[in-house]
Amino acid sequence: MRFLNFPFLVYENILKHLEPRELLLFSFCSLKTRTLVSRMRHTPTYTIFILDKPEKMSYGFVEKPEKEQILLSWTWKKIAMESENLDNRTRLKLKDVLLDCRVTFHRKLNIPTLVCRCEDVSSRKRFATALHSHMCEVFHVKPEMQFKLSLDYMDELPYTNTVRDVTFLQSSVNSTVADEFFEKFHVTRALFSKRCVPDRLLKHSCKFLEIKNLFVDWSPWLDITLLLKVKCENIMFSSSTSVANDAHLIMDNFNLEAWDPEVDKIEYDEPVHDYCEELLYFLYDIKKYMLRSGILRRQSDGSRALDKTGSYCSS
Amino acid sequence: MTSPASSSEVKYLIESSEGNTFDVSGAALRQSNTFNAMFLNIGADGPIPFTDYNEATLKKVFEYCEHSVNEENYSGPKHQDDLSKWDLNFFNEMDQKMFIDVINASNFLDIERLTSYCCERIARMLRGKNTQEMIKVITLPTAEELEAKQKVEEKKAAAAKKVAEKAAETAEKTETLEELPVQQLVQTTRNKLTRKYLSFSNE
Repeated sequence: MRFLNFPFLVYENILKHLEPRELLLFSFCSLKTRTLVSRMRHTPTYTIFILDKPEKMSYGFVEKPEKEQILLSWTWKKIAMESENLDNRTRLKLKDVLLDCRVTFHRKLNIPTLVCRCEDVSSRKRFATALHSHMCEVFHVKPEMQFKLSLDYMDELPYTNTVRDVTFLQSSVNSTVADEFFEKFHVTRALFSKRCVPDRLLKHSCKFLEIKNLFVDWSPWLDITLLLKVKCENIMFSSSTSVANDAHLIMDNFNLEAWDPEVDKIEYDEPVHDYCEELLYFLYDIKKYMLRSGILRRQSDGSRALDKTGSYCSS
Repeated sequence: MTSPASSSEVKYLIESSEGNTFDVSGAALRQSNTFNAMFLNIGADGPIPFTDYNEATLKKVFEYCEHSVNEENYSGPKHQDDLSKWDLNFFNEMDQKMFIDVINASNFLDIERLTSYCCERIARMLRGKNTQEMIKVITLPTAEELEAKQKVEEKKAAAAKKVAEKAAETAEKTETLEELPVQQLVQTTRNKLTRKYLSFSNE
């Protein structure tokens, strides 16, 4: 079927029926198909690189903070492409990067995965960078990247200076590597630290205190001395009781005043809600079991904090 | 018989590329936005010429229109799984060439429902395929084909250039002989002769 011989309206209509990940593969076919996809109307969105396993990386759209739609995964294996059946091999050309790979599909989710021959670190980084650049040109995604990673694989990240959001997953490294990360990449918006992240990763890090929005899932290590040093606009954390006992210090530090339930209603349309919906739901659930809870409000700018014995969410 | 009336009883004559004509009901034809824009209000004297498409293709397209006359107004693409048995048979009966012709005709006639179903069908052919398989489905030209095409285009461009040059030359001559006013022509010739005479006398 000579697809390109169809009138413009027809192939525009065909492409409308394809999912983003199918469109991405389609855009790899030729320069012409790439142009066709880029001419479509795309909603500008943010994209995320996910590195949670060794030698495997995923790339996807960010639909909401902390919720992504994976478009493509790729993995690097020590395989001899020459010996494989040539029909199964795909040659991807992204800018100056030429990549021989095999495309497989994830059984349930139907996510295309590229099985690529193992390359050196710089080639792998160049591929990730070229892919993002391709997405910016073809899908008009926002140029600023987001990362979700185990810091064990930090070297695999694409070339960039700024990162919008970063999510830390479980890793075996310490605060020095975390500070290295923050030196290398300027995090412009938020840091999420998952429950599985070990204490040693951020406990002795001095750079993370400078990030504007902090969302730390479970943080017994986040003691009052550290907490008084943070310079963020929003912070949400679940902490040990020792912090709860020093609640007045936190209130003083953030210049918070007690919440008046008669006057103030809880309306979570603040930015904090975008970041950590799940965490807030968790707090709602435990609310009824808590004796002490409420919203603290900073008079100067209306910033608020949700206080549950041992849990804080400040916006 | 053709008429501007919008009654479903009215039949219109359609002319295909072979010059053959056949009847289509007004109700079926009204699913075509192209027809609505061109003929519905002003009417048509004689058969309506859709001469870019053959009879078989047009009959197939209008067969679909006749069938979907009583269906609800089109409200966006329908998933292939939701298609009726009749629809599925309709698509399965066609070979690839006919299918492509139907898409093109449907696109020209701007029959939204049929175009959308056809396009969804092609999209399904691309689903779950890797890039190499996609290239096979959409039959992208190979490097050799592209090279040959480029050579043909270069030859055509060269030939067109030659023709244009010749035409320009001829036009120039014609312009000097015919389009210049007589007085100007006389003056030009006189100047030429004077120059020749001067050069001759100098020698």
